[in-house]
Amino acid sequence: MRKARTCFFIFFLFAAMLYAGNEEIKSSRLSVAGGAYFMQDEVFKEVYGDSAWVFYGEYSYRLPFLLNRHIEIGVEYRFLSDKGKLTVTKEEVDLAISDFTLSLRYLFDLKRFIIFIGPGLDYIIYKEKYPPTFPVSSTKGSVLGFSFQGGCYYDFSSSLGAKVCVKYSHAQAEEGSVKADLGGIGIKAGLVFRFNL
Amino acid sequence: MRILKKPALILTFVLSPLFLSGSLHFTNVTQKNNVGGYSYFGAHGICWVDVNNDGKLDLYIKNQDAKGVLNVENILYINYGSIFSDEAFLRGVSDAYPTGTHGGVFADLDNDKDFDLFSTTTYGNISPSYNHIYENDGTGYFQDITDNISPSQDIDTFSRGVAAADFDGDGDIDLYFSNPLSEAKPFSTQPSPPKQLKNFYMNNGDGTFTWTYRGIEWIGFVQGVSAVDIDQDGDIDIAEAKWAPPSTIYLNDGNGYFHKAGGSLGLPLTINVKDNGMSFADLDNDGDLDFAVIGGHRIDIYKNNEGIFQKYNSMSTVGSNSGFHCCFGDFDHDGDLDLYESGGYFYQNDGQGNFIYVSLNVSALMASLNTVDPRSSALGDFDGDGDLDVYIADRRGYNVLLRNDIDDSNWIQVEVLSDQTGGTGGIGTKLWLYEGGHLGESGFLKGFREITGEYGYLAQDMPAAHFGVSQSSAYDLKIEFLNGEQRVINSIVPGQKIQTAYILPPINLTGERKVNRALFYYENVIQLTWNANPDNENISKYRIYRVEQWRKLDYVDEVSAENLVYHIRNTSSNTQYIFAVTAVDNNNIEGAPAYVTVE
Repeated sequence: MRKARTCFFIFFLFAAMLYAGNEEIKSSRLSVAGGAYFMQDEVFKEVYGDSAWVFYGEYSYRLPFLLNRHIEIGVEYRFLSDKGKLTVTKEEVDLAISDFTLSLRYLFDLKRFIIFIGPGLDYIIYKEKYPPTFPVSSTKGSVLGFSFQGGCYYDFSSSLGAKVCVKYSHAQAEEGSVKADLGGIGIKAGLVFRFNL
Repeated sequence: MRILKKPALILTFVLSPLFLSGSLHFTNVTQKNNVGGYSYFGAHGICWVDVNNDGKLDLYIKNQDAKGVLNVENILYINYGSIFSDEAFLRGVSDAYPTGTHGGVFADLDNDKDFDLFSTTTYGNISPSYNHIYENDGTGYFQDITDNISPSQDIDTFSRGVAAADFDGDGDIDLYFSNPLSEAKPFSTQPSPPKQLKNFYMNNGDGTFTWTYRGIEWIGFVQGVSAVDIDQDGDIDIAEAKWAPPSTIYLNDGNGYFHKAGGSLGLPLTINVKDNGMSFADLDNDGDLDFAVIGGHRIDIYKNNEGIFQKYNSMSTVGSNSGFHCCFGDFDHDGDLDLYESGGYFYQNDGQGNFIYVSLNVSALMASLNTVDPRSSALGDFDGDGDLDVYIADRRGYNVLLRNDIDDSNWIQVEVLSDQTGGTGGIGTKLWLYEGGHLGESGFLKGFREITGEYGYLAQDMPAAHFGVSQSSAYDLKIEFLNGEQRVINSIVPGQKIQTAYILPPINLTGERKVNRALFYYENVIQLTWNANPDNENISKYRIYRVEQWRKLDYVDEVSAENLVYHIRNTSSNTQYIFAVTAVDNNNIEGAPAYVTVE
């Protein structure tokens, strides 16, 4: 898995370099990022630890708004996968969370730096798999949440840049009598490829 | 009422209220406890045993020859604390076959730590007359597993006394029964030519029994059978009280094959004495088994002198009855075994094995002497006060329960929760009680007991050793299981019941409710934790049981000996649970359980 991710980054970086030097304004951004997600749920922390690795992919489109100020609409896919241990029997459990975020961001251009901030609407899909000794084999479900993120782009060129972002999410999942707070803070950094559709 | 032979004794019990001090005091509590039997009578044998594992002794009465009743039922009085209730039919052990039961013994035949039943049927010209084996489910309900005997029984038997012990040392309890022949009245006054008849049900360890012959020939009518390690060589021998041929002893070769050795051990060879029972006990506290034989209107007492028995005392039995059974117990807690003749008198031991008539309060003495045709009697502490109570079977009258009213703490009881077979009861286990700090020193031996099944005339005492002791001392106990393994318990303070086991229970067993959480689901679990018992060796695993009814063990799982924690999964948060954990050794012998209740 780690090797595949590394290959993907290298490939993306290579592709982005091919477009470097094109100074044309490009409205679309495709970004990949990785980071850590700090879920605030206490049970999560007990079962899976304080944080989990998260991977992001996003497509965003910038709309002109004012000079040096823009509105950006983004669709982001986030994937979290982690292994943990049941709190008492210490048997292994697997958690996979995917979510799609539709975000609206306000962008402020500072030459190569572009600062952004804005809210988002999250649709979160989760699946937790349990050992055979557990009363159920897995739990699947989905929930809507919202998020708020801020960060900045740094353009190496008109086609390639970097992105750093902090995202706060809020979502409460409920399965029977169990409530899980899927909210938390994610920190991510990645590469951005700019292009025109 | 029987005719009393000793006018002096009549005078003694008339005057007995004048010298009650220092005498035994019993109370006839037959009616109060509702244990007199039924008006058709017929009682021959008795077993004191806790069939339902509730910690209280129950009472099984073996009935035969009841007037006007063909399929006479045995009685199983369940002890409910303040009263007994006959539940033999309900629990599947009424054993009502023509023409009833003489011998019967409770023993853990499947090593599951409850008492199963072997019950004979006495042939009376009505076929079939087969013996029966009943398996206890742990709660005192029984299932007939007689079909597990192979080959199937095909002859009627005239069974009287029986024996249960691990005769071949293979780790399970085997069964022996007397008179395996279908003669309606095999009471010839002359010995029979020897007949090699199948008279053992050898336990195969898988719930089945092989019906076989093991060297005990039938040479004449047998009454009571006793099974103890007579020659102290580590296996269980058999003694038979006979009518035409002389009563004798059959020595075990260690593999469960027997040869007759009565004469060579000093037993008389007189024929046609009509002995009814042989009772073995250490009468002089020298660490070996002496015995008394009763019948023919006399009790002869033999002392064990380095393996050879020598008669040193003889007493007449009471009344017109020829005498069926005598038993030994320390009724007065003075440190030696006293004698009670069933339906007769109590005799006090002077410490050297000499028996002297001891005064008894009138009401209890009358209850004993008023029995019409007393047969067996058995000893058990039915009220849990530490002393030995007596139940007397009356073939032609109501049975009698005498409660021992001695009120002191000068006693120690020892119960073997599990023995070298893994089963409960400890048949064949020997126990030596020494004055504290003097373990193994013969001069400080305070009592020797060997736990047995049926003995004498169809009697089975409670499956625990009872010692009378001085309260001012502490005592050390040596326990030797039938395979020779020994355990020692030091500094026992009188006034308590000690429980021991070949494999001891794990210690510090606790049960704690916990919530086993994942992110989206949880289960309530109970975490059992325990510590290995440092006195156990070669433990390979632990078994975990759920206890839905008290001491009925329902297997849950087993874990290797390295694991000292187990999680009971998916439990209810508002249910009380009881669990048991046992240790199992490399030979797959399972020890006594430790229990924990999780509220």
